[in-house]
Amino acid sequence: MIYDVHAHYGLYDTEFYRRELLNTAERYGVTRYYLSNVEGGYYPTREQVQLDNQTLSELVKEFPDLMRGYVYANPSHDNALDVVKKGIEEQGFCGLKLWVATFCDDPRVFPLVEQMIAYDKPILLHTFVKAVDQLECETTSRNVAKLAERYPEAKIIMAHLGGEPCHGIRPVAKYKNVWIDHSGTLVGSNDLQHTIDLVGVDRILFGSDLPVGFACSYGQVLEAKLSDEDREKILWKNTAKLFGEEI
Amino acid sequence: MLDFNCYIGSWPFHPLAVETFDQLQEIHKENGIEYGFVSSLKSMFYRDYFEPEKELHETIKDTKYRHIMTVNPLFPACMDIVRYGVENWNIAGVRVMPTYHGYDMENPFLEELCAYLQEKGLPLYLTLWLEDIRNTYMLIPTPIKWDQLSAWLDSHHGLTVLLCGASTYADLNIHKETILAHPACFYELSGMRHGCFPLEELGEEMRQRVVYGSMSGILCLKSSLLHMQMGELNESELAAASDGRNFLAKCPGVKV
Repeated sequence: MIYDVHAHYGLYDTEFYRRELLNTAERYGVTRYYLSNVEGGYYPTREQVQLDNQTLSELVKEFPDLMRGYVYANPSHDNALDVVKKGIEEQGFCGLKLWVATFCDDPRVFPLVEQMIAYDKPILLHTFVKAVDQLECETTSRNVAKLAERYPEAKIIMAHLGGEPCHGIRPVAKYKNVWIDHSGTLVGSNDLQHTIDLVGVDRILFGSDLPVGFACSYGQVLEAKLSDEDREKILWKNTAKLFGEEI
Repeated sequence: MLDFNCYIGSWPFHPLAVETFDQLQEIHKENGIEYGFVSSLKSMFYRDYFEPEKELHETIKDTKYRHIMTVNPLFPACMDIVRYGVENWNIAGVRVMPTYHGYDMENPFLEELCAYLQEKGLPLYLTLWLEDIRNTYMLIPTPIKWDQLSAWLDSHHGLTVLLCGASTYADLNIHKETILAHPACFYELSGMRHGCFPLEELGEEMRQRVVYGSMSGILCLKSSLLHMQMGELNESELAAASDGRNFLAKCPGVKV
């Protein structure tokens, strides 16, 4: 079984997204996707966010066993909290996705985090530290650590191994309320193993960033020196537990 | 199956999962790979790369593994070392890294090397990327511009070229006409980051130009292998990519 905690749907070429999601599910044996729809640029408008969530909600309803969704919000919008509430309470989403419109420890994010704590649902944070082209408000694991410190009750998923496991993992390693996904087409031979060495297997979640890629992440799980039980934890059990699903 | 793009040696910025020849053999064996065409990472960094090349030769000489020599053509000893490798070590190709060593494809010393390889029927391993550009540290590569590469390929139809670490399906897809216009330009799958089933998307003609390469130990071997295993390739395409028969047919100087 595979639970992919980090996959994407889109607005414009939805047939492409559907094909990649369904083909990959069939060939690799993905049993559940946790999807977000972040099309509309780095700093989406209210209308784009609304359309993203609406489109994803429709897809999730169409494939209720295979797909789950994160509500996407731009914390710089004054209606961001309403977007989150609508997403969880009306559109059937099971978590919140934040991308690059603000840092994750920007005060405008705090009300959203507090609401997600009230719902007891996870928050997926895009996190990347890059040698080139770092975006102005792109969250790094330093920001994630600050948020985790401020809100120990929040269930935080730090995406992409923080962008670079050599220095992306250590800042969050001590925070038991931070889980880590290894999506992002990172393909270094030691990326996942190094993360396991630092935090163990119980807080690592399989993620692909699909349709950007799938083999990068899946290959890493297959190649890591793991027992079958630990591999299962990463591939699906940790995610199922985090989202309160049956194991 | 053969691995046409693999390394041994350490990387200065972080540990690798596979650094020694024993580790490389082990991961190959685990994945049903008979042997590889292997290079020394040390040679990339050494100013006198004769010594690490000699070390590589000594390490693999009693195995089926084949030696791909790594050189910087800017260094005056380059052609002496390459000739020595051909005459004494039975090397199966020469790797260049203009992206990292800082010269362009029009460099006259590279030209001299290419002419020699063509004469000997040996392939040029043209390394485009090693690490993900987002994760580089200190060693920031200068990408080869595809229009420059395209022009260079057009003027080297007699040389067999393996593009290593092309990285993204998008790059290959956009430039596939450049690759296909060359009679002996091939690519391998290591570091293929974009696309779920890139070999299907690239199309039939491009599938004739692919060989399996892992870039182990820098990159995860399984990730590139999955592109082969999970893509819907027909039997002959899979065979050609696995044993590199199309590629090797264009390398008369490589004795397998």
